[in-house]
Amino acid sequence: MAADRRHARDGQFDRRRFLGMSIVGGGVALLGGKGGLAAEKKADVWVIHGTDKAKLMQAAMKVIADNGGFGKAAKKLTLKVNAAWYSTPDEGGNTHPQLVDTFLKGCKDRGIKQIVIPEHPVQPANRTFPRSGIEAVAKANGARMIDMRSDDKLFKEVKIPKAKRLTQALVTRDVLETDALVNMPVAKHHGSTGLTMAMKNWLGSVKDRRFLHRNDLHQCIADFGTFIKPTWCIVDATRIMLDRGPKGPSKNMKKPDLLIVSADQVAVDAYTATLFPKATAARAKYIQMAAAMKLGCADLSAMAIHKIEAS
Amino acid sequence: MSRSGRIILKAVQWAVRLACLALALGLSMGGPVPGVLARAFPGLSPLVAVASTVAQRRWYLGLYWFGPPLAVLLLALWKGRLFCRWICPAGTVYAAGSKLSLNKRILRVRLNAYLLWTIVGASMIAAPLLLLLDPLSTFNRITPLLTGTYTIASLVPGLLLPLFLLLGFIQPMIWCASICPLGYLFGLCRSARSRPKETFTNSRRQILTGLLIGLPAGTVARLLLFSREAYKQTPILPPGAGDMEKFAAACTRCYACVDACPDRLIRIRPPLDRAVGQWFQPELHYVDVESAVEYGSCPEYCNLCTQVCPAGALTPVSLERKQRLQIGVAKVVREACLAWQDEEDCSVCQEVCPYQAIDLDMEGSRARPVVNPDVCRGCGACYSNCPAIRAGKAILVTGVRRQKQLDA
Repeated sequence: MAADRRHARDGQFDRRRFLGMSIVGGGVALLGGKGGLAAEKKADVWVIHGTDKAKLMQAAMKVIADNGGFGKAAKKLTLKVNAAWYSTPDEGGNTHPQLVDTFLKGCKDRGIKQIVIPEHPVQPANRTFPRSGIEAVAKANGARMIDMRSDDKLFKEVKIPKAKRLTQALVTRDVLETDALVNMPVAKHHGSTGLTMAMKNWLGSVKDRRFLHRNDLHQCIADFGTFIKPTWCIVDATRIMLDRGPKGPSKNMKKPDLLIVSADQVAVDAYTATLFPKATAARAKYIQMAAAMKLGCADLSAMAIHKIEAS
Repeated sequence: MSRSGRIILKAVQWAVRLACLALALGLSMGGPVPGVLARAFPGLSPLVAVASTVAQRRWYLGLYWFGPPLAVLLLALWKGRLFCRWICPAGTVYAAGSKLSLNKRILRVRLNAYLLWTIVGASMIAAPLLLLLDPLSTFNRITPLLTGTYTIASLVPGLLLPLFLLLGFIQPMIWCASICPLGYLFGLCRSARSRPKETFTNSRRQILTGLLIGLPAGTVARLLLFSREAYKQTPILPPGAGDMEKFAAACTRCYACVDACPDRLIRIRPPLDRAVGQWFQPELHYVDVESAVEYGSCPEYCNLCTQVCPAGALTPVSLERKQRLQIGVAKVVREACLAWQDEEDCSVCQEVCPYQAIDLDMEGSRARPVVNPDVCRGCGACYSNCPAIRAGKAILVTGVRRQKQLDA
């Protein structure tokens, strides 16, 4: 409401703006009536620490189960990992396979019938999928990895009305048509955007990445948030590259041993960014852009941060 | 031998021939067989093995790949041109065509002996000219036409086989009987074993003539065709090519490397400039200049082409050494660059570089890419992934005259 006050002071408080604010206000009130005071409901972020990756993910699965799970009748789950790089698990270019393994086992135990792992890799999938270690655990758990390079029909054209720059795109069909969508990126330094975590991971679900690089990449990443709504985000921050990302290998690695879990993709990114040097984190402008578009919470003080020790 | 015996033998012979033909095609076209077998058939030639060894003054064949041409040579000592009639896939094609021949003589002289000794003479000068006449290399040249890696230019050397097939319809076995230097070598081996003195006396003139052509021709070729001065541009050559001039001379244009490359990056140089010595040589192309079709980049996990060269023009390079081998250098074109010119947050080139040869200039409001030429291998990952289109790709790669191992 600070903006309104300023406008009022400036004498520019016009009718249209007033109407707009009323509608938003009414919406908030409606939501509030349904599930408690929505305006005061803080974005939940769970920060799980532990050196054992299986236990880390088990703790994350428990958090998810205690907070609505994947939805009641979820049969199909789409998991967006990062398996885009010819990079070993320790190098931190891709999501750690052990986390994926535990996650897939947990999903099976919770009655998910079908799990697909679509990825539009930067290097050829026949190299990156095996090298990431994710192909093996997917196979062992009956999940299907999909190489988005293999067939254009795997993409679906979408119009994005609320976007500022990315108004239409070809997006992975399985990301759009699924009961539950889980984003499980690895956090790391990134040349173009400073950092890549949850929101930036959707670039692995779009066909023409190059368009984004030519048309305000940060805004395009924020635009994803207007139409891709993950059920859960689980950011792998077990080991992170502080420079030379996203491919690495980097000599400048850090081992936070963390999983950051949230249903709010802006919040999960905003929190994860604090693990990196300030100058690097400041380059990830898409976080603030997404917050400005009201796609989530980027204010750490407005989050409910739950720290959990997985042991 | 009885008549039916002869028929059965003929049938067996053709069965073997066709099997070898199918095998040669299958191995060079790849598919389910290991890519390294692309060299199996062109690597059978003892002529290529000997001439290349002489030309390069080094024993380039490893323990395994030295076996097949040696076996073929021993076979020739024992049975003369048995290889031609039972195994050689080019011979099979020509023999089949000659069954329908008009039986007219258009070539009355036999060139094969002179060609052989010219090759030997030129090889002594380290410019093994005419080695591309080796029939096994010639046969293998047909594969790029079948696998679709050809450009119009590659049709020319690829058409040598069909050309002599057609000529065979006029004069039967014109290639095998009158031109083939390898076939002549086989015959020579056999007669040298049984009648050494006579063989030498009979071929004295041919040896002298061949050497008298080959030695000066090799010298001239080295000065004019395979010299540093002859090459204005520096193409990117497959890893293991070493010196640009040496490679152009040593390559028999068998295109085993073209066939082996899993990403189909190795393309045939068109005969469109003055660097005649480099014509038709295999080169790495990350993007097709004319159509802008992107082939990809030479990835850090592959060294297959270095393993398949039967002529030692490409030397084997281990994966570890390949990852430190500089085959080219990238350069940012700032006027075309999204980060330098268009105020975009783009560092795709840095992101995809497997060797961290691209640093980020952080002065100013955004990261901008800068190539470190002491680290750049020239793999082309940056080039093929560059999203800039306004003024074309904003990062280009050129070859180096001499490939070298980098420390960083």
